[in-house]
Amino acid sequence: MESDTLFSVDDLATEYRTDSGRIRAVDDVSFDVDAGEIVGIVGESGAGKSAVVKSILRTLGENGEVVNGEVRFKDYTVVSIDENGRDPDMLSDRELRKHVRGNEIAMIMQDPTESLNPVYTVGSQIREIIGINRDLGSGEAREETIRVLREVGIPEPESRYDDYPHEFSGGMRQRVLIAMALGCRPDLIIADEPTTALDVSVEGQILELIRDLRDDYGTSFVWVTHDMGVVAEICDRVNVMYLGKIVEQGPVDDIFHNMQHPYTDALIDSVLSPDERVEKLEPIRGVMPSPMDTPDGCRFHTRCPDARQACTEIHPELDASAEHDAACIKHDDYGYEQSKPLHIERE
Amino acid sequence: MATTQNVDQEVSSRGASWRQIVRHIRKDSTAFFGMVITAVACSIAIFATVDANLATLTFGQFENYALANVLPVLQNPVRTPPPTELDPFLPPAFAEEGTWAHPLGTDSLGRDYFSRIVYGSRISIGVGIIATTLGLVAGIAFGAVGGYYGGYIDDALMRFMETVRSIPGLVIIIVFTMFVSGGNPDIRYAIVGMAIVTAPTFARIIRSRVLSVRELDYVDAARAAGVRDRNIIYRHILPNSFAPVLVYSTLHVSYTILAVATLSYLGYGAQAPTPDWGAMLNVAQSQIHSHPWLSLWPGLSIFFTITGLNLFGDGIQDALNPKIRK
Amino acid sequence: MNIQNSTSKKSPPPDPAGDPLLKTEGVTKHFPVKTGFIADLLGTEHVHAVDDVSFTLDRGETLAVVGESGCGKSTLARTILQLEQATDGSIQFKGQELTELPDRKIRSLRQDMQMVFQDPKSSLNPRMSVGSIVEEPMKAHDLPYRNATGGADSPGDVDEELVADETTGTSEFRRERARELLDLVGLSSDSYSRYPHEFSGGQQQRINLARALSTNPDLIIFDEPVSALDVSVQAQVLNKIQEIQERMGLTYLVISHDMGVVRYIADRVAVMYLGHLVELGEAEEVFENPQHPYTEGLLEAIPRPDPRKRGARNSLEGEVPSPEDPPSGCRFRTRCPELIQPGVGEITPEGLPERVAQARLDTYEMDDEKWQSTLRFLRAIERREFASEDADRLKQEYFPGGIPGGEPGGVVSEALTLVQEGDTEAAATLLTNTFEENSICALERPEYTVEAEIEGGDHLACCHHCRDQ
Repeated sequence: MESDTLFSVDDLATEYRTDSGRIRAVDDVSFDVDAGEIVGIVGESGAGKSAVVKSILRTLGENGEVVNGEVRFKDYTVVSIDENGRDPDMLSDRELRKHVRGNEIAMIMQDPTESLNPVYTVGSQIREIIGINRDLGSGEAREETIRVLREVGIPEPESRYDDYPHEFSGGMRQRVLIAMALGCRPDLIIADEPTTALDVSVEGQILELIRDLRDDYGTSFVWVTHDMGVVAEICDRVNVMYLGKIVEQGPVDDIFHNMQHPYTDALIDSVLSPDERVEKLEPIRGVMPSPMDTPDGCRFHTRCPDARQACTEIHPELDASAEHDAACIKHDDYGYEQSKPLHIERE
Repeated sequence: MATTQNVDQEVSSRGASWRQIVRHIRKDSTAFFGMVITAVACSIAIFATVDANLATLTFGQFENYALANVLPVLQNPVRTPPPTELDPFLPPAFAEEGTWAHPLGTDSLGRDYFSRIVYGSRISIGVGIIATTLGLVAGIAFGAVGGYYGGYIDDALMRFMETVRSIPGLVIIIVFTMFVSGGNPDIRYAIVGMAIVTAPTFARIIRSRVLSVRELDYVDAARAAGVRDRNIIYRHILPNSFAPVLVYSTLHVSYTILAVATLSYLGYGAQAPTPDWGAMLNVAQSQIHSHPWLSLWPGLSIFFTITGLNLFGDGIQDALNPKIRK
Repeated sequence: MNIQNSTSKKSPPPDPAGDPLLKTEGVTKHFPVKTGFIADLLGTEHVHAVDDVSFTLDRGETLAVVGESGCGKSTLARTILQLEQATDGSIQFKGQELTELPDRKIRSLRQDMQMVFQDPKSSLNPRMSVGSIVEEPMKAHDLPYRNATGGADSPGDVDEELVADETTGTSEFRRERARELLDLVGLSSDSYSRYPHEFSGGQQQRINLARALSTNPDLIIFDEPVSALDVSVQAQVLNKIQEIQERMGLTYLVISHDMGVVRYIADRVAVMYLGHLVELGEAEEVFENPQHPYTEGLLEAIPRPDPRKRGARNSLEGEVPSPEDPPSGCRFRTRCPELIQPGVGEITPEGLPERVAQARLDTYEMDDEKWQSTLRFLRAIERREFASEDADRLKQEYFPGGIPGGEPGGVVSEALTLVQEGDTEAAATLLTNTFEENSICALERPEYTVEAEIEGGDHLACCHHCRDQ
């Protein structure tokens, strides 16, 4: 791990047990987060983004299991599993809670109603978390809470301290969650679709806030979303996921202006923009296949406009350590040019 | 054990699927056990006859014991042996002085206890099921209409239901019986009375489900499409509201069995000489030292039936609980 | 992706000779905050979900109603469909006044007015097969008709599509039609016997669409038709919706919060804010030449899928006020960056409230820079963006060019003093009363028709800046 890599994920693989068998929701996912960097994970529903987050934080439910991979955060080994089982260096649940979760890594979820207990005031919930994680007395913790509430843009924080979650609007509640996450001065915040349920105007305010906070404190972010606009707005680096794998990763400008993977291209093209009049949008044909039924070779070949015969046979690899790479044989030398184009039926 | 509150909250809001229930019951051995016991008890109640000469259990032709005939059958007194053979207080067969002609012994009047237990199941289980079903139908009617329409209709119906619930059940049943029968209490009045007492709880369960289902988009879509209210209730709301009702019904039957016992003891349920487990139990309590088996057999029967029903009910509830489902 | 520069319409031109299919005038819907008969006796607050909304919808066109959550667009749709009773106003559909029709007639009109809901997961009954879902509206209206005169309640002309001859049984007819519709929306006809949960989100929305089409309606109202779907599926579904509109000559009312979707699919756009219609015009006109600051702000705030277009451009500060007590005059005035100074603009004198008449200061004639500073200061205090602060620092931050002179300057100084003393509350009230409540934006509700610059047709803009156009 390089010196300013704060957080690294290597070869992560996660499976879920269902009635119809085991599903590999995350397959061979690797990425890094440097200090002060905002790294995006973008993909559609079913791509596996939430599974990645849950695997990293070890909050998978009963049915999920990390079957392989390493997750390192600073000096800690958060996850380390291979075919021989758990690595003994891996943090125990108790150590994880004490050192990592909430303390040095914080989470912001999509639905504030799930993270905020409706029967306690917002102030007391934040104070409690700050008090525990930063070992402050309750008076100091209260001061900190008010300070952090103000910082995230909640007006009159001293009186709002005593309000209950339902007394806040959606946007304000999300700010409260951010305050809760920030209060512990974490080095890394993992945000899972935090602005998806918010109105556009509120979303804009929150994104601006996040950028300011990153600039002021140097907090790193892992930002999970399905919205390419949000990605463009806020991320430094982007990982594009499709059906459990990362298909392209790179700096945000490259992803949008110099994309290599046809899926990234198609995804960006699918966004309906309010800026120009479009007569007819050609969508990506088909739907994302079920993870029970992943296509052979490149998983995207069933929908790819540039697919060739070779794509059904070769499984393209992603170089996670490169500055910018895509898991697509178009750019690598696997005989793509020589291979016959695949005829994909139009819907 | 589950209470009504638990039943309301924990049952899946996605609506019951029979296949789900069956699958879970098969997997969960306790629930399966409960189901088996319940099935056995019900079969005995419906189909069994006792051959008086051999005091053995036989299963008669179905047409003789079709459910349609249950009510009249409930009123038939048990077969007693001719007076010359009466032999009171015989102990069960395995004790000294016992005989296999009366495998569970005889009661104070010399009647065969085994037959009385078998036929007693008809009252206990039969009343439980019938009263619960009637109460369920009435409760659904009130709860669904009130919940769907809301407003004053809902207020009126629910206040009425709550008034009924606020009066102790036994008092309602006794007063109802005396009032309607004009002083001739009978098991039929007890059944209707129990239905009245049961209805409010079902009404409340259904109403709360209806209130949540009513807000779902597909109900709105049906209204927007022009589907008539009553069809909306039948086709969209009720099928998706049924789950907690199912669970509560199994639990309620057990409650009814105990209630009928008390009623029979007080003289408002099964009239002598019709056997009822609860009545038999109550009568036998005064003789528990001299003739303990008189309380033993009805007690065990009640215990097994209720346990079976409860385990089965818990199993259904677990089957519908999305968190427990694997 | 084809980008066209012409302003051709997306759907066949509406029928100019005919009457509008739908005409709403002054539609208002208020919800009581407390319910029950005691509340009815004692009176209660009301949520002003929709206030005085008027527009027309011609046959064949697509009108989008756009706005953020709480603006009332969904309530408007439900009120038009008579799923809610309008508190006031008129709704005319096919020439009939819906607010005055008895329930029976409304029920029969529902054949022609259908709705597609937002969330496919909750708008399809999980226990019904797809076929029965699609057939249900036909059943509800006793379709098919058996003869050309239709049933007793048939609303006027009978659709030939819905007439069956004697050789076709009722269930057979419905089944056939359901299969045809499933095919039309792009699903295989064996979907008929399957269940909703077996389909993806996009396919479920198509099922919703097939159901809406089953009674051959004239108008379909879409409530956020693609918000719950993945981006790559949205275009598929929208394309299908448009294709069907052309094929069947339908009229659409689309409710959405997504400006991109709206631009793709709408002929005309109506923008709503806190229950009011604030802008209405041809789609191109509204997008290229927005006149209302809220519309402008909304367009600015959308994150663009292009990192080179980042930047602090968020002009929509603050939060939407409570609909229980909406601001007077223009409801956007509490957040508007273009609030007009008090004294500017003639106020039509009817019914000026007493206190205003007395408190009204004469025109300040502050120059624009001073007014902008004052406005920024006002907003910052309203939002309590700082705790007690030093007056000098605030002065530097908000009035780099010096505080205004004359009366307004006096008020500003007083406010600064109050803040320094820690009484931010009083400062806010003082500033709001002086500068906002006296503005024409608070005194009079704006409603103007402006000259369309990009595309013809009426352009309604509810902003006092448009007064002199």
